[in-house]
Amino acid sequence: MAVDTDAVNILLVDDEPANLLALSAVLDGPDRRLVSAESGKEALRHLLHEDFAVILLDVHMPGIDGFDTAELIRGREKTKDTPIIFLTAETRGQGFISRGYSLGAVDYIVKPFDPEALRAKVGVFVDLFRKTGEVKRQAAELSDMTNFLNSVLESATDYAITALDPEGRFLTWNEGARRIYGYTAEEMVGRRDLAALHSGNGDTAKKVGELLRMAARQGKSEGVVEHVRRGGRRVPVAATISRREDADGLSIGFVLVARDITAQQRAETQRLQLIEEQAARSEAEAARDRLQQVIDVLPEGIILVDVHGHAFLTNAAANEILGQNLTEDGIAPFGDVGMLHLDGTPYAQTELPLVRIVQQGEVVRGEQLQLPNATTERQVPVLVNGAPLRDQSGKLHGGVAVFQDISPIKELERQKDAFLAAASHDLKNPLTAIKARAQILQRQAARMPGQDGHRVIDGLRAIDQTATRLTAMINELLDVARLQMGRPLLLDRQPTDLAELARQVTAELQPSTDRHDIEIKAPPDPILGLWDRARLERVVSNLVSNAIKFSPEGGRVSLVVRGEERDGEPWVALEVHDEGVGIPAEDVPRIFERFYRGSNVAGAIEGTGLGLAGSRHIVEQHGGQLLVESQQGHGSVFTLLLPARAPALDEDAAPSDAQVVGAGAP
Amino acid sequence: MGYADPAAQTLSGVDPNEPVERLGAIVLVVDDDPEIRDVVRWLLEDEGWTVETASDGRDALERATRARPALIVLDMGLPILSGEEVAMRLHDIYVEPPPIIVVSADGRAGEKAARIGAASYLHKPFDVDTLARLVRRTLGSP
Repeated sequence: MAVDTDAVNILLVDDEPANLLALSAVLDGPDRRLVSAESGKEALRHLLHEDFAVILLDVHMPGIDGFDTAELIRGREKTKDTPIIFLTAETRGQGFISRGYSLGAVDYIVKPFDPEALRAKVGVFVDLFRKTGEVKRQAAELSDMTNFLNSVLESATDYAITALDPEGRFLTWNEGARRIYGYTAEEMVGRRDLAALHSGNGDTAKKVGELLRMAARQGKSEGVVEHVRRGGRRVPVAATISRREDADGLSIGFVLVARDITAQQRAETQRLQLIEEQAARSEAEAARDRLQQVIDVLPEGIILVDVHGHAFLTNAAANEILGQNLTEDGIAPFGDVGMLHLDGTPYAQTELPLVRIVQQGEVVRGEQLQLPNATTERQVPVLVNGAPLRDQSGKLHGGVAVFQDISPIKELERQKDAFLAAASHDLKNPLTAIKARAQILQRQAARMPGQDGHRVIDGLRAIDQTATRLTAMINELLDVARLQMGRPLLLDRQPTDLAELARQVTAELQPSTDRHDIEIKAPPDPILGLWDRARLERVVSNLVSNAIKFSPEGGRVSLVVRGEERDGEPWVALEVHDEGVGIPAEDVPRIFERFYRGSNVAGAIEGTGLGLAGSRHIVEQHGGQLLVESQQGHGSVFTLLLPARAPALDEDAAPSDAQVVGAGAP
Repeated sequence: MGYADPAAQTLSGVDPNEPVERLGAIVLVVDDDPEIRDVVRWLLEDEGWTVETASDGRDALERATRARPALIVLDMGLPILSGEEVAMRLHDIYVEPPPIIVVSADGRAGEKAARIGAASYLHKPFDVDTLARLVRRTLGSP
């Protein structure tokens, strides 16, 4: 007997081995396995271990008979449904048969049996058993699948997965749906529909409607919609809607799968922001690069600082002049690298050009100072211009300083000054020797007896006076040279009494005219200031000479000296009035120009026109002003204004009392 | 003796028997121009002073250190050490340096005198009478 694992078991129970053999012969087949038992007891033993499609049970058996055996079989849970066919030699009345049926017999077969009928009957049970097994297996598989799907539904907590009926009511509601929307299955299933997730948001309702229609038409639709969570918070979700169909292809609703994409959207927004920021940054960097390239071409050093004085942009020239890059870390703000004034005194922090620009909004123009070069440690003279930087609203947000290395200019100035000093020295030493010798010889000659002495003295005096004239000319020439070389006069400031000076000039010039009456109005007290006495003498002398010269008819020349206050500061004024020809109005603005001469005197009155220009130069070097008022035909008034408070000399070295006795050149 | 009577070298005919103590009152004349040194020596010796001369700043400082002069007539435009430097160093050498008459050709004698604390000053060219008067005012009559 071939053993097939898929073979169906049939239990044959009969106390007659011959009967068993006969049954086996009839029923044997490749799809079945025949198990024989010669007693009810043995049958029950087999039933303990195996399932049988059908039991053929002999009713008449010694010991436990067929009915008792059937009763026992029915009494056991495992076997209570196993079909039993009783085998009997006779049918002993209705009672016998009904007992068998009451014991669960499905049929009786009376011996001697018809083999075909028996095979057919057993075949039915074999088929039945096979089909039942199939159904059971399918049921188990379905159950497994259902369990699996349920566990998937409940574990997929990132996804809301719900089934909807055709009207949109929820049929299922998983854990993911609870997490995303905040509602429980009890609240939703069978009670609410998709509208619960719109909460009056028209756009969402419209979008979901479209998705449903598309799913109904095409089977599936996808889209991003904004749902509303319990409590009102909006939740963007990626939704997939699928049409559900029954076996006949009829629509029975939808499945909605939704995923919360808040985090994803946020990440996306951030990514876009990041991209925009990077784009803006690289744009700014490109602009900055261009700016850097442009300013690197400029020969002037440029420094840009923020409100805290931190340098955020410098150019190549700035780095070269400073010997370092101020934008690097650890450098003092506001370009505070140890600046000095041109005279070598250090800048106070509050004096620094960039501090004044950034903190006071000052515009710095043409300031000269010295900067140390960090590499060479040399002081570099620079010319600084600078201004605050303001945004469109006018708010100050930094400052810019532009500076130029003026070493070559300073070197040229130094060379000019050296030349002028040498010229002065070389011209005046011989004059000194000539004058001194002439004067000493006059002393000697005075001790000589007779006429000879007088003649020698006269000659020596003439030499001395000539040397004096030459000296005056050389002094003026040197001043003109300074003026033309663009160098300031080196003023010999000393305590000077302007009233006394005016009296001296008057006394010197009065003898030169007998047609003019030179008078002087001055307070009895000295009019003092720290001025260059010799040069002011030249100015006053020039003004008085002009007054005489330009009033050829004679008349009064008045000098007025007085102190006055201007803007709370002490000043002094010296006026020279004449009653001469005056100056035509159109010439007034130009009379201080070099070589300019009034149209009414050019050619008529001798002069070079240098005097007034030089005089104004001297006065302006003193910080003063030389003004004129004139009416043609009625004379002129020249006014010399000087600040009485001159810039202090080095006070430590200044003499503490009035011991300094002037002895200026005559 | 080597220290000659100053009067004997002058044309002034000053009394050769002048008091010995005045020989201590040396006037140091410093100028790089030999003509000027010569003419100032002549003047001051004529006035009765003992005169020493120096032609540059270092020479002046050495002489002023070796024997304290009563007065220095100091030109500002000197080689090696400028007149200003000489004056400053004298302050290091002497608690109270000898008085100085500043002489300058650059027109800034007054300012320089003020800066170094000089007794007085002269612009070149100067009048010899003025120099003689300033010396007398500083040292008294010879």
